[in-house]
Amino acid sequence: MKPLTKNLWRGIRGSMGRFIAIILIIMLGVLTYVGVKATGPALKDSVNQTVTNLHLSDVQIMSTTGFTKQDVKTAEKVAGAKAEAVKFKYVTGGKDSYAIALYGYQHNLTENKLSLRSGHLPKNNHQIVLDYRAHSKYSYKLGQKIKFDKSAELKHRTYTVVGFVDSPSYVDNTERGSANVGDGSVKFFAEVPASQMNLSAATLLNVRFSKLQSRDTYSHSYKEAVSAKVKSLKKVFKTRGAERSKTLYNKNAGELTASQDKLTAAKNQLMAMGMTSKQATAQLKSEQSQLDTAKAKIKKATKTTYTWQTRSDLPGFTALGQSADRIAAIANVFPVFFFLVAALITFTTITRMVEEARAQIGTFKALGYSKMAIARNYLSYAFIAGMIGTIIGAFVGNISLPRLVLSLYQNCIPLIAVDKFQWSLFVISIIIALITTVGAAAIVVRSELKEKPSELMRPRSPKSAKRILMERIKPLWRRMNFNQKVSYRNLFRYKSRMFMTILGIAGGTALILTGFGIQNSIGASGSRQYSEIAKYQAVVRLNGSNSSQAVKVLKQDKQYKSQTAIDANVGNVSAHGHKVDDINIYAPSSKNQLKNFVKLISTDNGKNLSLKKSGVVLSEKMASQLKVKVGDTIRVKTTDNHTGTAKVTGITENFVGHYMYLSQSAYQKMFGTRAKTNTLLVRLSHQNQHQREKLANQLMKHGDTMGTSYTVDQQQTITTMSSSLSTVVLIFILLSGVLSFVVLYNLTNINVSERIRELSTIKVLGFYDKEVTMYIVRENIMLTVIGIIVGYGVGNALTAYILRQAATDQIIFPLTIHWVGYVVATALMVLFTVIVMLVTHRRLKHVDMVEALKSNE
Amino acid sequence: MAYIEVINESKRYQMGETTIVANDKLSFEANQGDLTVILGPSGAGKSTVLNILGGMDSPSDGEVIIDGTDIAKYSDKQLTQFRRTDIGFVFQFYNLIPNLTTRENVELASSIVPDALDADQVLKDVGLGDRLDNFPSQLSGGEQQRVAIARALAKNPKLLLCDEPTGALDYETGKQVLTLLEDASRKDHKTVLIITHNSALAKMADRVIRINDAKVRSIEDNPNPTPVEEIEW
Ligand SMILES: Nc1ncnc2c1ncn2[C@@H]1O[C@H](COP(=O)(O)OP(=O)(O)O)[C@@H](O)[C@H]1O
Ligand SMILES: [Mg+2]
Repeated sequence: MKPLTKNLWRGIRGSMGRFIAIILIIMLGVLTYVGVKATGPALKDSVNQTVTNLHLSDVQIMSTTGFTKQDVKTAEKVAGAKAEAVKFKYVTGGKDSYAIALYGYQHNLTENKLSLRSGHLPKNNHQIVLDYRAHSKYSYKLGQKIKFDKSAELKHRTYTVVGFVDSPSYVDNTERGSANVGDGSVKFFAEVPASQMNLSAATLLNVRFSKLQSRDTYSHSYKEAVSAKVKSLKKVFKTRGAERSKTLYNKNAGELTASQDKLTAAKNQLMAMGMTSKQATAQLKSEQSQLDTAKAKIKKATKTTYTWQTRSDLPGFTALGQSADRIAAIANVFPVFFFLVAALITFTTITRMVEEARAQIGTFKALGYSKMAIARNYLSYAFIAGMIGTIIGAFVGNISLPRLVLSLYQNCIPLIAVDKFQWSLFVISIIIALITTVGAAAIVVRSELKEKPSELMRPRSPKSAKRILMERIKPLWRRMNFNQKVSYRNLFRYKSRMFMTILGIAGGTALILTGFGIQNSIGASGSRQYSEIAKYQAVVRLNGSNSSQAVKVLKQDKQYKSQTAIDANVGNVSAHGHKVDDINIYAPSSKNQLKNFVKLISTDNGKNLSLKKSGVVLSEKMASQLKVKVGDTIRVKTTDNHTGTAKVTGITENFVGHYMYLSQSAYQKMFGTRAKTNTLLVRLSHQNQHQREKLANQLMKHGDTMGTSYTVDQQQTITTMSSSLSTVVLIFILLSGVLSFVVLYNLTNINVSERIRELSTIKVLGFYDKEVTMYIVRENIMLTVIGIIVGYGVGNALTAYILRQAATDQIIFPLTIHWVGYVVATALMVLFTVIVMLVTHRRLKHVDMVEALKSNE
Repeated sequence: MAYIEVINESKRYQMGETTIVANDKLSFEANQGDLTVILGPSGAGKSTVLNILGGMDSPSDGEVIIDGTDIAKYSDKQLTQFRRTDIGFVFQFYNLIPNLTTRENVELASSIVPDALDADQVLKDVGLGDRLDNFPSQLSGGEQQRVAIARALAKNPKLLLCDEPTGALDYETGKQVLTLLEDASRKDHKTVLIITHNSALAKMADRVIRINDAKVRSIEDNPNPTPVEEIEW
């Protein structure tokens, strides 16, 4: 080995602590960067892998009249389509007459394949497989029997559970959609052999395009391709629908045609006979009208209408993609911070190292080594540290974080985990890491090497001290005690260290706060929406416009408090060329009562809003998406094709969903038709799950209703969303903590070694160990306090930024950071300061003051 | 009366396999209010013994009795207490805190002892009354050493220990500094120990202790010390 190389390795061995610190900091930076960046894609990749492997259909069509082989052929006329008809029905069954999505199992189907969690698929006509959720949430066991209600129209009433399965149609375990049976919300799905279901035809047509499977299912290009396919499908089914209706009509109306023929014959006969018996004519007429009603009835029953669904309509499917995006949004902020700090720390550390080796550099130079040869020594040192840090960080980050997050999701989602090594991220981190380490070293060495050997071998002339600004404020300066003056002077003397320490502490505090903030804010959107804004607990959809039956059922319920009737509609709103879909349009039958159910509060001035004789009140998010202000005009189209325009009279605070509120008279003016009661908003005192299910069941059976939904369930979805982030957040808190600690520790170490002579001097003067430690730690305490306070501010700003990035188009996340976040962040930083203080104390206690003061360095 | 009694004091440094003997059974005394000079070539062991006297280090063997107490067996804490109240140190390289002004450097010492002298007054006494607000980098070497002496004196110590105080100074400024130390002994009746390798300075001392090769070679008393002013070298 050449002497210089030997020197390099000795240098590394000699300053192991420093070397490790650089590796550690770079590793942390790379780990968070790669880890967090890889998690979002890993989640999406896993969903993609899952839906491709299990052949999730791209389009699902439901028909009022069912599907036959002919329909399959029709669908397959569209290029690349593979169609399969399945039996599907919402039924009730199980312990509490649960609403169950029941599918007919056929072993030869290729789409929406089930993946077994336990047991096996049905082998005979007495067996059934259930959704894994039936096991996890409703505690069904293998071998147990499940009984269905008569209305399920199955060959048998009970079946033996032989397996628990996941289906790609249900990627999110928090929801299963809603139905018009049971209490209205589907609890789980199940599959029995198809022959067991007494349906004359299949009710669901699954269509899959194998060509589309190579695209990311959440991508724009996939969505566009699918909607093009849906268009083609709709085209072929337009004629097919009419044809199917006609066939069915003819089949069912066979008898009626015979009667009609008879009737016509009788009429003709009567006329031919020239008889005009009034009685006979009347009878014929009545028979004719009876016949006509019968015909109309059949016509209605055989009318074919289709319902279209794509993947984004599947319960939870879109939300999953959004949570991947949310993680990606976090990924854009956190790691940048880490890298910035890592760069600064590396810079100071290497600066210090080169400074300490001044004499050595001078010697090498004097011996005739070229600048480059000497510089290479330090650059290699930085390079080795940077590379080791990057490689460890990239591998650990790429493996640990995505796996961890995926495994969390896997608890509730049937995901096939995919974690590719993200080479591009690895390359990016190497580049950044090398810039921060080798770059920093290069800058330092360059300026050092410019000096002549003789200069280098002499100690650097001390940086001349300056008066600090504070001293000029005489009354303030005079009031400070000696120690304070010294600390302030020192703080401002080592400005770069001051800023870096503050940055490290503020960064850690901010990141920890942000971790909590993201979670709190997501949770807050749900809790505030369903406690402050929507004060009702249930929404009951009526069959007609008469609510008396439903109210009767409600009044029998112990938890019932009050109700109000509204006309609830869904539609889209457009203005200024923007359009927002899925708007809930609420027209209360009593303006005054609405106040007790929905809080309308102006986003402009916080005042309560009331519904005017004309015009509408819009919810906040929708107004911002439409870019409308109070006084602007909007255009509304409801799903039952009422259209109209109205002025915006107010914009109301709202966190989840889009709402438009208007009075009865405003409704009349806008749509030219009267509002009709179709929904009840119901206030209830606290219920348990069982009570909720019971009430919904009662309303379904005796209340003449279509279904009941509870706001707790919606809030639950949001709670799940925020808790799914909790591990990611915890990881951040840990990493941020470690980062702050390493920064503080490293900077304090550098500070101590830079000022070891000064510290030895005060030791010699007779400062007690505690005083010596405090002499230097006092500065840390000040910096920590400043850092924490700055961190509070930055944390709030960062949270707000990430929330804006992560916002979905339906939800506003109100910036919320509970005191717990502040306490944890502060406590951690205080803890770090204390630990560093103790370590420094030990070190200073054992400093050899004689040695430090001996030479003139 | 002997203020300092060093009896059979030894200091050994263990350097791996070999043992370096820096002080080998030193014995000497120094009287209260006297100016004592320790003379010897480089590497003789002078600094080692001075550091032990100042409570910065402990001997391997022997007794170091100062004002009637043996500090050889002191704990770290006791040594610190001793340095704090009883000792003033002056080094060859002044060891001022670069980030503190002249006045603050002196206050740094005076702030930790109860019966400290007024910092401004001490600085005036060493002739730096007009440099109170200067930083060390703005002072010459001699001026910096005078600040260091002021810092040592401000604590109002019983014992002033000076390790080659003029080692880095030129003739004239060296003389000024020595005069200050002489005054501390003659006027303020402090016990002063000065290390030097300049034998010309022996004339200014009440007692001269010659150390060579880790051993005391001779102890001479000087009934009529020559004032520094009159010494030429
Ligand atoms: N901390 C130490 N470790 C090892 N050897 C030391 C140490 N301090 C001093 N020595 C050695 O002890 C001897 C005396 O040193 P010192 O007292 O500094 O001499 P001087 O008379 O020049 O002041 C020298 O040989 C020196 O190398
Ligand atoms: Mg010496």
